[in-house]
Amino acid sequence: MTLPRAYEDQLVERAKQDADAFGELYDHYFGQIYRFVFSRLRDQEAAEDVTSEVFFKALRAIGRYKPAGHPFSAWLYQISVNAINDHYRSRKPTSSLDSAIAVADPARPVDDRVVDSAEAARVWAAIDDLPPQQRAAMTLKLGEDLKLAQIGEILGKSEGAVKLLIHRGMIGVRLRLGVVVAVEEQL
Amino acid sequence: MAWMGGWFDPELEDLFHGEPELLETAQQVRAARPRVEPDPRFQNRLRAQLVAEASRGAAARGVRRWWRLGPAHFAWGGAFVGAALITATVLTFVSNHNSVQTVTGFSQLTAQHQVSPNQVITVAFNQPMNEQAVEAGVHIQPAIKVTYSWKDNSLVISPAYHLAANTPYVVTIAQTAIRSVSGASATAPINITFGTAPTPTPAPVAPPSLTPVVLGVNGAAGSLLFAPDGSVVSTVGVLPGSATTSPSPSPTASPASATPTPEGVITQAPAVPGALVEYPATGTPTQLGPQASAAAFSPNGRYLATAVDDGNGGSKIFASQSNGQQADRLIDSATPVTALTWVSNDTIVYTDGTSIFSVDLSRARKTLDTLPVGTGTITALVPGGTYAYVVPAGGASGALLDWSTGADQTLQGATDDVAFSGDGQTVAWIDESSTPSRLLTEAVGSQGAPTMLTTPDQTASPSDVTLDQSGNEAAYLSTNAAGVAELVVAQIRSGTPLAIAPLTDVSQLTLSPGGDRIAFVSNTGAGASIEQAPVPGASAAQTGSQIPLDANDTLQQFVQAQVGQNGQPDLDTLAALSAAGVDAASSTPQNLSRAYIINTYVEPDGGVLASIELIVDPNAVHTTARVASETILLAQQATGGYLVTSASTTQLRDESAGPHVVQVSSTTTAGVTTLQVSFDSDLDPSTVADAISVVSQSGSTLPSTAVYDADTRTATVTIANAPSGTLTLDIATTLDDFEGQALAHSFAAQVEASS
Repeated sequence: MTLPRAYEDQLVERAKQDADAFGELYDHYFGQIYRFVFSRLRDQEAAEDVTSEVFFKALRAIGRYKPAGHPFSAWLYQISVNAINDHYRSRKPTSSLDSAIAVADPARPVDDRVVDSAEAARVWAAIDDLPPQQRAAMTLKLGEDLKLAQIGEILGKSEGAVKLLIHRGMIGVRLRLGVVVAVEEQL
Repeated sequence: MAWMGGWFDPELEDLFHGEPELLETAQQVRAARPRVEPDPRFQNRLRAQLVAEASRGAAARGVRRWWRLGPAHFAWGGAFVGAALITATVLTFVSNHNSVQTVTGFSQLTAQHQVSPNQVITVAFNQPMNEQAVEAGVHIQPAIKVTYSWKDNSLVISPAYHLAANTPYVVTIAQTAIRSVSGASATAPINITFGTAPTPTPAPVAPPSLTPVVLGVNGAAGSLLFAPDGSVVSTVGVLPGSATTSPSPSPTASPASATPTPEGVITQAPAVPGALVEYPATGTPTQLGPQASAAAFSPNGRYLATAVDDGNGGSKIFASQSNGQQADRLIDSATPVTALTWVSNDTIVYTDGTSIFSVDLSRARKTLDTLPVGTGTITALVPGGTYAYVVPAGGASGALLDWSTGADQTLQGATDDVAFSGDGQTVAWIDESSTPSRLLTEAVGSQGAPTMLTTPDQTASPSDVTLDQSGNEAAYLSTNAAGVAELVVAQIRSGTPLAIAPLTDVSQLTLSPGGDRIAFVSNTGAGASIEQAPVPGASAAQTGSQIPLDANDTLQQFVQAQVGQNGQPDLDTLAALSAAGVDAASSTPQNLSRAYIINTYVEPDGGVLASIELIVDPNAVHTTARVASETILLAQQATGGYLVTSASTTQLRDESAGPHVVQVSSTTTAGVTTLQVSFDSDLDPSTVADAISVVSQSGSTLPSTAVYDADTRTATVTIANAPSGTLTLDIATTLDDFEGQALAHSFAAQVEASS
């Protein structure tokens, strides 16, 4: 759910001077930013730390923010992507290609597989293994249902480039889940 | 496949048109996406903090421009404000509540990591408070003594001895204590979490220079040595005929005319060249004997041995009282004696370059060893021992020869620039096989790797090395690429310069046994003069826990890189400072705020062991500081620098309540070893001395005294006549802070005492 653009622009302008207006922006976007961050980190404490960082950065930088035709959420996502990437750079890898492949069973029907919460985690672990830009594009598309154009605004890329990232990302996920490997072995 | 389980995304439908397997994977990924609802308590708390910070910005700066301040101004303002009073940042904030009925408290320190240690802690309330109740509910961890005052509705908490530097703090005010005058209360306790900035590192202080005094005139070449009474002796000294003093100084020295001294100019008659001359610090030089090719005082200082040219291509060896009186010819050598030393108080060892002989005061003579023809030349004898330095004929690295066993100790790259400590335990030499050349030291008889002395200018070449009696101090010339030379006196262990003087054309550097004076020959166009200078840093020179400068640099940079900035380690620097196979990045915990280097210790093999604690400051979510213990080993590389060769780090854990040791250092001065133990809390002084003990390597507890300084939160432990080597500092949990909290955990650290 997005705010009407005109209202959001006014709210952002007010938030530059008015704490309550910033609070209203926070109320509106906190949930989706938190969920986006959590979907990438899958750790409550880390998600809370990074979400806090995102909003404090937004607060400190909002004076310089100019809508430029983009929704405010795109800016928040942009901050989130950077914060998440920073977080990943600073930590040890928690998943590996091997572990993702180990649990994937391409012979099972998709629906059966996704009801398995452990496998759900493995599916997203496969996304974790993707290069950062592919990872971000995949998460924004399949985790947040954003439009390609919105993702392009967040990542600073053209819509075509986002398509390419998602296409490559999807192939990468299949590879990590063992699907492509299995096909190649059959061949 | 327009619909997949109720989900339809036309963009992906279009993107994966003709690739149904990819669309299916997209469905799988989307169906597996994590769905979680945030913790409402976190959501509310974060909102309160954000709104409070926004409000503070608006109130403090006016409603127009507060947000335009950069992060450094905005977040870290407290770090440079000093003792300025602070207001704001909501800690207990309940939106949609009547602020008169609900107490809210604010402190700007919250979430700051670089608060000045001189800062006071201010908590601003939204209404007049029951001051006594609030003060009674304040708890600060680590415990510090404070005084309270009120300014309007703000509680000002002033540390009695300032905040500890580089320390995470949690200030808690119990919910039940937060009561207003009107009876309103808070909905939650107040937790103020912040960290303090490190104490600024003092700017490096340039080592002092030398102020030489001319003692007299020297002949050509020869050598200098210190007599037991502190006088300087030259084997080729020039005894003045007579001297008068005029009051005005002269900028130039002339051995035959005028010599500048602090007292004025000594004008002298033509001198008598070529003698063994003693130059006292004050007074007239005296002749001890004829010019000598070698001279040495016995270990007990009572005797002087000299080798004198017999005029027939050989030498005569004399032994006399240390003042040159009662000279007794011990033996004649058919070949010229080039070096001699004492191996005991009654036996002299000497060499003619090919063979090693001994002669005792009863004139008993032995041939100890003879080099095979053409294998090399003996150029020096190690005092008190069984070693001789041999320069091989082929020009390869010289070696120490143990003439009692025939064993060799190769000195890498050594040629003729070799020196020994007066006790014969340490050898120093110039490795001329590297560019620039290096100054290496090693224990005599050791088969380990030598240690490179860190020189102030690492692009310069050291030369003319000499050592003091115990091998703690070295003096050498350091010549840069432009040919400019400096005389450097430095501690061997750390390389720390004790004095640097821009002296050119000097030679025969000689340190006094205690290292507190240096003598040398200054060569000018007018001749050679013997000069002496006190070493300014030597009287305060300390040995012990100081580690080599390069090792310290690497350690500091490594730890700083682990902390990084904004919780992100500097991975590039970590990699650059790590040896192959050390993955410091993966062992470094996330989101570090600070680190303590608790203790450093030089291992017997020259490696440096460091104990470190890595800290994550508490925050609104996790109100306890977290700590990981780390042990780092640094080793010197062939190129001279140090790298981290191992890093072992525990998992982060919550910091235990109670005082903690934050730093240990040891120094030894004039035989007294002093340990400085710093804490993060204000201690109960009566518990300090009994809780601290020092144990020797043999396991015996050493007599010690401990004095606690409240201002610096430091206990000074003094041990007289501590045995050299490793000591263990133990601190028991009977040590309490002033609130009665016991030391968070017992503490033990290795420290070093040096004679």
